[in-house]
Amino acid sequence: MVENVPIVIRTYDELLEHEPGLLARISSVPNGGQLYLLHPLLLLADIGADLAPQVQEEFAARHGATGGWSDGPYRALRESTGKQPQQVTLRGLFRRPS
Amino acid sequence: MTILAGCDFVLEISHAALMKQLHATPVIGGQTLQAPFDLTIHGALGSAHVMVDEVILNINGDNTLTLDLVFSRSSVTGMGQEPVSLYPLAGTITVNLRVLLASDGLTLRWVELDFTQSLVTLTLTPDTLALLELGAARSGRSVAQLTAGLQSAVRDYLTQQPSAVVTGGYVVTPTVDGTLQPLSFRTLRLHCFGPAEQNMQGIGLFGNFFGDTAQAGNPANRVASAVPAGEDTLLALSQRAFEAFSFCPSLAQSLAARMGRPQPLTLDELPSQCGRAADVDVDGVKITSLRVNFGPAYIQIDTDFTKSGPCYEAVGAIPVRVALTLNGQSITPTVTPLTPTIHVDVDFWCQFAAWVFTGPLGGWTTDLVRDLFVDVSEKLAVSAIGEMTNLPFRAPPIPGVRLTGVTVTSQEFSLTGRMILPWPVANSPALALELVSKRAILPDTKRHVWRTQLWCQNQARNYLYFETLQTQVQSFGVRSQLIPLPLTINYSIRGGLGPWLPLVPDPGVAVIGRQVQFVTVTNLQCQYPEPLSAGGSVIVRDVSLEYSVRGNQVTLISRDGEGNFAVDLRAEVLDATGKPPVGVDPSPAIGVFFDSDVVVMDQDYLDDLKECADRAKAISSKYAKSQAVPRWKQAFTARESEILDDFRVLNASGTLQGEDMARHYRNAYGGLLWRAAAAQQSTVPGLDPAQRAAAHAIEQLDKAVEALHLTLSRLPGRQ
Repeated sequence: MVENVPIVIRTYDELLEHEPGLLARISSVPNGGQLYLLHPLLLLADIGADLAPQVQEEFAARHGATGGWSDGPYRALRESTGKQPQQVTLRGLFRRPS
Repeated sequence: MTILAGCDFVLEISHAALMKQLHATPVIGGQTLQAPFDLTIHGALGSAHVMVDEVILNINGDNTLTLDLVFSRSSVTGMGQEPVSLYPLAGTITVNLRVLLASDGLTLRWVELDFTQSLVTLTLTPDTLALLELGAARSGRSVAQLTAGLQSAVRDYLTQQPSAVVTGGYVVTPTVDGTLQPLSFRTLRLHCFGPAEQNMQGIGLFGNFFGDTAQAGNPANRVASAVPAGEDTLLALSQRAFEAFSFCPSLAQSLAARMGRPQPLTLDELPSQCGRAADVDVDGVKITSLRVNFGPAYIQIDTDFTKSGPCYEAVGAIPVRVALTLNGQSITPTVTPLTPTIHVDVDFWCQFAAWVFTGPLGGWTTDLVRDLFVDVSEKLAVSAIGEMTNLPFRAPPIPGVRLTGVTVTSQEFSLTGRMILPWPVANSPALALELVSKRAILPDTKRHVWRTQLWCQNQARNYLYFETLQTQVQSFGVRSQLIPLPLTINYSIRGGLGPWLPLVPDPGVAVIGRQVQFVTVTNLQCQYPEPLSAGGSVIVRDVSLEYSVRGNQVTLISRDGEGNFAVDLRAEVLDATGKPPVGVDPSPAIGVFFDSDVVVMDQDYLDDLKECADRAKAISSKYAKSQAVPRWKQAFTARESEILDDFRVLNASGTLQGEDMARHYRNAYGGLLWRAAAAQQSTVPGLDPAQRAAAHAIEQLDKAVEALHLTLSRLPGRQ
């Protein structure tokens, strides 16, 4: 995975502000969309987003999931050279506060 | 040249089958042609008693039959002034008679053997000719006169025989499209196959059902019967006929059942290629087309769909292959889901988007096609047996036809059958590839916490779960019966529908040290139980299996971290003669499942899940769809059946709560659901008549219980 300049994110608002840049970085990662669905926090870390623990918690809370993620399938997909029949196009990353 | 020769339908009767019919039915002089038999023929000069020892039948390509009646120990008695008896006479009566597609002058057609214009020749042995010379001298006639008299008497006798009906009647209406049941055609043509080899001779009826195919095909291009050696009859359908009379009607019925509608969908409601609708919405999935394609040994169904959720829009195609085999007198569909192609546009991270890949669509489509083909297969089997038993003469004691084979090629679907004869059937040879042992080694279990909120709970809760990564060892062997031993077995393995990869036998004992051998299956779909919020994930990757082939057995060893996957294992067998064993499939195969990554949820989660599932099912307006769950699920244990039915009801509910619960079911019972709903090889046992009756009884009982519940719920104080 390409080495990116770290982006330090300390609040959920900062996360939303960086959404276009993060989206662009994910788009350049092979199978980035599917990796994001498998383990969003691991992918964000892999593309250089340094999320404070409370931002990670808020992400999980706002998206209805905490834990239950494993790096097994994430790493299997990241290392796979096979063409994935499932394609994901990300139009956005984060749920916006209503 | 295909079996159909460009037509929509063909029904064939083999040479052997025709012989069986002629052995069982009065044909000449009230006699069957089961030799020995005798005939008494009266002529102008006297009478002949013909003792027939052998009947030789040949079917000719010009739509005629040649019957050679070989006789001996026969006699003639002259009726002149001085009665003369000549004995023993021997020779051959050769009858060349027409095979006709007869008509009632209206719409009915049938095949019959027409004796009226037969060419009859009498060939006498030299001894018989010498005897005739003696007789001629004593009767005052010449040998030529006697021979001509005999010939004339025999010809008159045979050309006066009534026609023998070979088939039942078929309706032919040139202005109306035909149907499979009852069988009717736009056009129907007769063509006999007459090569020199009798086991390749036969009679074929070639039919066309549709206006634009009425004149299609050329049966004359077929020169040999397609009925396999040893079988009696064959029925083949074109892909178009299969779609029109079997697939599409069953699809209309199956989709209607899933939509809770009593009547089948109309052509205006069905998507292409069965109907004219742009799409049909079933369980929240918009199906835009369902296409059938015949391939070598399979039927492929491609389902195009769109589906949207709270955070995504998906579009894709799900291919499923169906192989058909015979299981008793039922046709058993084996449904193999192929890798779907899905594109999802996602607005933001949400579990429903990930669930599109792992969740309902693949299993849903497999389920739909499986249900569909259970129905298709059952109706085809009944229809084919009906048409095949419509073959023989009406009078003979042939109880019916036993289906013996089902074949799909890129050109046609065909069934073969054998006439059931009233003598006992001996034990038959058998060959099977079976699991011998299965164990896990080096399991590594870790405890995790997942915080989530089930839809019926007031707040999120922490749930424990345990993830185990493990190596699995599975051994398989070949079991045989009535096959000459020893067997030579070549094992091979494949993933999906990839190439078969040979598994090399272990080196001999002289080699020091353990020989480790690996086989790599590429581009295999591997299922992982995480992320839990998505009900798992599916990754296409290469998988390496360690293996060992020793004697009759093969052992396969998975590695942890490779997820859960299925491969096919095949054993190609030669018997003691060095040839593939006769009378069985010489290359049995079996689906092998590996669970290298297993998640077990804690009991609290299961309890909460059950509570929510019960409530989801109760409030689902489409709960009645559970009635459409086919009874073949009874093949599993009661508990598995219950879980699978729940899963299907939840998936089919079309509600977010239902989808949410289905994801949680995937977490709770992942291995079971994976095998049952989305396995590489998912076989539905065919239903025999007893099972069908039992299933019907269960269905009636269910309906009664449902009616009882409804009545009780309406009683005062029960709301």
